[in-house]
Amino acid sequence: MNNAHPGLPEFDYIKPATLAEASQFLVQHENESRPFMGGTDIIVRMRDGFWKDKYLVEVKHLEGMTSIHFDPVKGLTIGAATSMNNVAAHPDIQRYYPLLAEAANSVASYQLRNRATVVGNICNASPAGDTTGASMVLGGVLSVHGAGGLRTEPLTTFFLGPGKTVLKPGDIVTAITFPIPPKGWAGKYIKLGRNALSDLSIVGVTVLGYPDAATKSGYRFHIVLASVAPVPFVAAAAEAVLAEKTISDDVLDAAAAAAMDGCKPIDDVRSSARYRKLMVRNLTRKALDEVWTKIK
Amino acid sequence: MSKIKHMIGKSIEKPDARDKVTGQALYPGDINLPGQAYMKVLFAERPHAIIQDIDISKAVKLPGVIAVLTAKDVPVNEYGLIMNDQPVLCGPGSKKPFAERVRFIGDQVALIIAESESLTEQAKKMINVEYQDLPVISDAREAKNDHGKLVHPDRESNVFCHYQIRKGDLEKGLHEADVIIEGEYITPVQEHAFLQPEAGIAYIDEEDRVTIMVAGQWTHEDQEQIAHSLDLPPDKIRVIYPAIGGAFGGREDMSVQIDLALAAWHLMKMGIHKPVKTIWSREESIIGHHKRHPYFVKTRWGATHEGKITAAEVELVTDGGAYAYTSTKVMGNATLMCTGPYEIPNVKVDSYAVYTNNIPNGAFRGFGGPQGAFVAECQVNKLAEAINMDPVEIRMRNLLREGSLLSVDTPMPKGVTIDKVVHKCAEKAGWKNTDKGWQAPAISKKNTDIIKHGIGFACSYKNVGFSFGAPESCTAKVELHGKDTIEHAILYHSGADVGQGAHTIFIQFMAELLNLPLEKIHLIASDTARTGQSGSASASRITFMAGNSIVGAVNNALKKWINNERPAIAEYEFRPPKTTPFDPQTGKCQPNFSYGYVAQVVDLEVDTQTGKIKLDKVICVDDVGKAVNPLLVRGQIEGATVQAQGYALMENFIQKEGRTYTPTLSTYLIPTILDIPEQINSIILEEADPIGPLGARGMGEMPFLPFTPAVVAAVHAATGIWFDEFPLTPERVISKLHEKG
Amino acid sequence: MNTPINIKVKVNGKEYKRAVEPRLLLSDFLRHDLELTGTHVGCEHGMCGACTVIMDGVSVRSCLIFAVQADGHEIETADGLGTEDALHPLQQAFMEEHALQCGFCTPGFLMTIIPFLRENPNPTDEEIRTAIDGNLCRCTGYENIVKAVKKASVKMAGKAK
Repeated sequence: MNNAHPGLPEFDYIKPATLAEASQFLVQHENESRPFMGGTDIIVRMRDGFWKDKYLVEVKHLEGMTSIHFDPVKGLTIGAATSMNNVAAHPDIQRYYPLLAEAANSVASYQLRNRATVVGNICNASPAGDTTGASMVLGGVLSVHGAGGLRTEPLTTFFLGPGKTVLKPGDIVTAITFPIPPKGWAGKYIKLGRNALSDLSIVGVTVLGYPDAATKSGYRFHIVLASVAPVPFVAAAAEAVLAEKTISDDVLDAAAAAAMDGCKPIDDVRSSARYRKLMVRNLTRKALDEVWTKIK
Repeated sequence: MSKIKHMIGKSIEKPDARDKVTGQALYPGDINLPGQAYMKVLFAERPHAIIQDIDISKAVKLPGVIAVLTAKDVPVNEYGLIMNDQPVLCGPGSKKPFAERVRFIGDQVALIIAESESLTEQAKKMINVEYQDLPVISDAREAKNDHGKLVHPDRESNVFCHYQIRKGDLEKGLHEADVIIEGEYITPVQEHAFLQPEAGIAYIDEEDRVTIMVAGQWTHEDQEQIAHSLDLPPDKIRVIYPAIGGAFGGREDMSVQIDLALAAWHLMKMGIHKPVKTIWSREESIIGHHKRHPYFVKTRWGATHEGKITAAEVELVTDGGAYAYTSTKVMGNATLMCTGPYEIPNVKVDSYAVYTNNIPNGAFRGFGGPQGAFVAECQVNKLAEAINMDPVEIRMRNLLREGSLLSVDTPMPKGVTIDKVVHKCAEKAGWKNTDKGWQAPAISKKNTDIIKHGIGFACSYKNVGFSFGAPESCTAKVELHGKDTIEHAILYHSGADVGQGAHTIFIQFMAELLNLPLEKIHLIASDTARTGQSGSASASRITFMAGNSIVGAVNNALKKWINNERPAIAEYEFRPPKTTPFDPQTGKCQPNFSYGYVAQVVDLEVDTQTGKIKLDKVICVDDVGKAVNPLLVRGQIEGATVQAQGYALMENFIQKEGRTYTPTLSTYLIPTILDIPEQINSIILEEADPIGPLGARGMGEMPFLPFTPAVVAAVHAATGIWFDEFPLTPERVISKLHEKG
Repeated sequence: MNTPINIKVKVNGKEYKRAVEPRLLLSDFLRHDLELTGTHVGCEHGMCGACTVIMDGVSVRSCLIFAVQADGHEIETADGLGTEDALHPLQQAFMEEHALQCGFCTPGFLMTIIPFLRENPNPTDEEIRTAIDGNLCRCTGYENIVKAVKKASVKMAGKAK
């Protein structure tokens, strides 16, 4: 008799041979099955009693799931089951998408990053996801294999609520793709947690900025905030300020204040809502400053 | 005795380290015995309720379930280290009055014993308990005065211990003062977070003893409490400690010990001879064992412009939680130490331990000392500021010295060195002793708009050994084997090695005293069937007490050896000078027989945009009497400092209405390597204790004590703000900075 | 439900074939099924790192992996790192530098550091600190662990030459 961990519910482990088979199984077992890759998050949620799926459908072994491909024209494709550490260490990502490498390196611990994936981080739809912000500001698009075949889902419209996304039964995210980043861009991820690194963020601020002739200010900024709303929060008001007005210290201040005013965080064990709001302002200001210094 | 000394003062390797680096060391959860059954506890998971009924009928019918035990199956349904105020299992059916009540979330209701671990979990879910919830008593300050809502209805009040000290004339002392500093302080709960959750295995040994292999701190106390609950003579209970995965005071009280013994004994009565094993999850560990006491403090101290402290008044209220554990003893220490290592002529202290429906609080490294030191050191630092005197200078003018009278009106035991410790620490941190007195160094690092630097000073003393009249002794047995010369020696000792290296020290003492190489010393440790009463591995006492017991046993054995006894076998029980309890009116007593002394300087920076505090440097000077193993001593200093850092800055145990919101290591965070000070400078002083073994004092706790007040002083230097409550989480810091504007 | 799965796992160079429940964690598989108790379980939440093992050459938390996921893979644990008579240089350094007190966290540290040193044989203190951020130690205050890693790296580099 095996000694299963007493806290874990019983389930069956399915290892389909193809994506089509996997999607079909997930459709047939709607609401009682889930695609499974590294498992770092799913196992904790099962253990804590939040998820009680009857079937975990392994997809990590399927073709293309762990590859990284960079094309100077088309951009970057990261297989869904690629580990955070492999993302962070990849020379093309370090060179062309350093913001993503930086974000991947800020997730939990080294050991966890050997199992956890960027796509898993996104699909869990945790508002605290460390790589979600970078993926969003870099224009990430998910490749999804569903019951009806392949389609794409942009991250901008992907999140519906904590743990909730537009994915439907049978959907398996196979990769995330990124376009070539805009010319002259710079980015910054600032994570504030209760400890130096490994904690979930109290607040996470991702900023990307680049010269853009189409705006009044001549620059465009993308700002995504973690842990301050039910979904990764796009600080649209702050982005608008930075697009409209000639950038100065005062305008950076105003943008940071707009980011703060726009978000509606909650109290939890990590922090109060009040502190979160203040930190959104201070850290957005700090990240903007760093990015602005690089692109101006 | 041998004349060649070579082992004391040497950093020999820990004899247990080889097993630990190869994964071969067996911790309680690693031990498996043939045919073992598994046990799981059903916890109440509600803070205050009366159990109307427990229905186990479905659970016992589940195939593979061997037994489900409830209150009615416990022969004497009570236990406790200080007082027997806790039911082993809560529920109806036992003789213990009010045992049907659950008083905190970790109260235990039933034990499920089955063929596999997953079956125990499955059966646990089939137990139906009917509760009638009661109002939750969660604030110790309110509970202190509320005699209508009682945690223990058989008592008249929630206050279960009160001490008072009356020395001199407080009003006169305050009148003489030029400045008076009033303060209100709150210290937080802290979780031990030892890495090995509670576990153990029980079986009936070849001499029909109920035998428990478990991680604890005091084999014979475990034995006694188990014997009491099972209504068996102590010699029918055997307690063995295998490798212990950390303790810090958190294993001083019972967790799985009585449960395991009860289970194995119950199965035996059923005619089933099966070992019973249990391993707690981290959540079970966090709700299932006690925490460090929070203290609520009101105080006022007076001093003259010349820096003489004239009076100190302190009121301490501490939350004992649902049961007493060691609260009365912890509070004794806090009552003594809340006026610091200073000779103050006029002192009034009142302290109260109060029952609530929170998780019980008890022993944790420092044992009331850190809470006391926080109050005393913050007050002294504020007084120094108020009279514009250097914090080291004001200390030098008030420190206890040889012959000084304590607040409890008796002289310090000989060997007082706090002045030397303070001197050394100040000097190392750049203080100058000028003709105008001690002067702090200028802060070398530049402040920016955002980053502010500060340094802070604090010092403390920590008792070595049990206090206030608690029976105190330690036994060692030594066997010397050989013909003409001693070829090898065996030491029998119960002293627990919780990781601090106690067993290494024992072997070093033996090798030194007998002039034998280390490999000729055999240690038989921590088994009540073979080793004598040692007292606990706590109160910084093991080096001191066990060392003295080993010295005595070796001396006695050598006498027999000279008389040609082969093997020469001798036992020795060391008894230190007697201590006495607080006088109920004046508090007068002889509290302790030995102390260690410590001073710390903390150098830090505060990020005023996030509230994050970064520790640049900690200087810690400890008088350890004699460093038996210097590397182990430094390990204690570094480990205690980092644990204190968690306490001061980070560890935030959240409990509301008797429920905890931080039951995991992902919600309750302890320091990682990226959080610790950039530099810990440990400086060891060796001013021999007159009655310490080869001069050694205890030291495992003291580096913890001054850390928090030193941090608070440094943050004040950086920001101008005094923090009277901690942990200094970024949020708390920002909140105060904003208040200040 | 709970259909057992046949798995084949190489652990410390030895191949094991077992039928396991899907919900069996790799940590429990190693500790209970294979009786390799050198892998410790401290928090079951992926925070403490005591359960760290090496899987296909990289360090992972075995409490966050199902045994079925290890099918066809290679695992290394502290039990197989060295023997009492022939310690690995890292184990030796941990002993010499007092990099452990209670020792419960030690196997997890070792299994984190081994692949780290394979990739980075000559690390700076800063790199060492970053590498072991995912391992909690409540006893030592970490300093001696850094010293031990440093010492081992020097010794191992010397041997490699």
